[in-house]
Amino acid sequence: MLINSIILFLRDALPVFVLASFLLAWSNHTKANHHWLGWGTVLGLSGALILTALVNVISQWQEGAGLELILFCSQSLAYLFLILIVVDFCRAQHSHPAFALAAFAITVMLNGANLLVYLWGYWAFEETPLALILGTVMGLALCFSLAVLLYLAAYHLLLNGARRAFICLVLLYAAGQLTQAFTLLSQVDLLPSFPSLWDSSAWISDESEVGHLLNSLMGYEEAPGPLQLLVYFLAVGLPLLGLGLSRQLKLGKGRN
Amino acid sequence: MDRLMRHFPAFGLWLFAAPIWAEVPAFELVLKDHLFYPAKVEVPSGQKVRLIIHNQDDTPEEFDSFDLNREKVVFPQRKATIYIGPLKPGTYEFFGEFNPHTARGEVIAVEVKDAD
Repeated sequence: MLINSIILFLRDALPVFVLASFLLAWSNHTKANHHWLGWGTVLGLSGALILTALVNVISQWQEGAGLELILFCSQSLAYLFLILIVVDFCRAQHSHPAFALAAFAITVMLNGANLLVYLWGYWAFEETPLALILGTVMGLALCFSLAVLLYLAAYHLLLNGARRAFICLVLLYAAGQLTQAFTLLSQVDLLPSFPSLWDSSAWISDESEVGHLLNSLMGYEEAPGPLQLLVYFLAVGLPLLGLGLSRQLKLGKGRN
Repeated sequence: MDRLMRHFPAFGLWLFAAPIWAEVPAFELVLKDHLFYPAKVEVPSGQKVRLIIHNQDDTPEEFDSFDLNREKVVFPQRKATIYIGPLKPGTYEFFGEFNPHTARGEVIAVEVKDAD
């Protein structure tokens, strides 16, 4: 139970902490206010509670594909808000905190709901919650430690003018989360499935700690299919292409 | 994809070309006392199959598989369906994320030879 709780935190809570690190680095660098963090947490946790309460019903919608559709739509929205942050950041050196609030609240809601389902199942039927409490505390501590390191790295990049590297990190994270949402559609037959292109589990397994970390950071999968790869590269490449083109146009106008 | 076209025609049109609909073979798994029955499921390789998971416990469980790249919460006394494959011949592990030490099993994809 102890180890299981820690692993669950690594899988479900780490993406929230990773996003918080990136957004905190961005808001400290741009001197934006931090209201998005508090409100995003409150709104996200409220959303997670509502989703958990309704998840049994939602999962029966659309012939059993209801939950996957909700998760896919929510994750797509979170991706769009992250792209808006990146675009705003590139164009005006700052971004609207409302985008950060929305992206963070959705991420807390999606990841929090899964943890709540697990906690609800455990609390309802087990009599010895010590292992769960210890696992929760250790899992939170681990996620928090990783988030602090990540924040320092991201903030260091921004301080040293490496904005492109920071933007790439955010895009890799956003694309990884979006790709996982597309996988959910395949499992309920709303998108076709294809055999995986390779299997890198001998080097980095999805089940390992490094696998969990890379999955949260950039959507690492040991055996991705062609559809996942396509979505991933489009989700990273299209915003970069758009930003590059807009920069070229700006430079062209400047010369004229 | 057939379901997508029925429920979300516009979404289906712009997203991806629809594969040809075909009957998908189904295999049932029962979860009881945090154990999967049967623990080993043989499925044909090279084609899509349906796994129907029936949770007969009083607690929720998340069917999870890194090998199959699937995860789905199955609520108490409910059934959930997930589609897997086409798989290459081999063994693919799955487990219950909330009880990973007991709820474990394998999908074994085997080559199906034509009768003639």
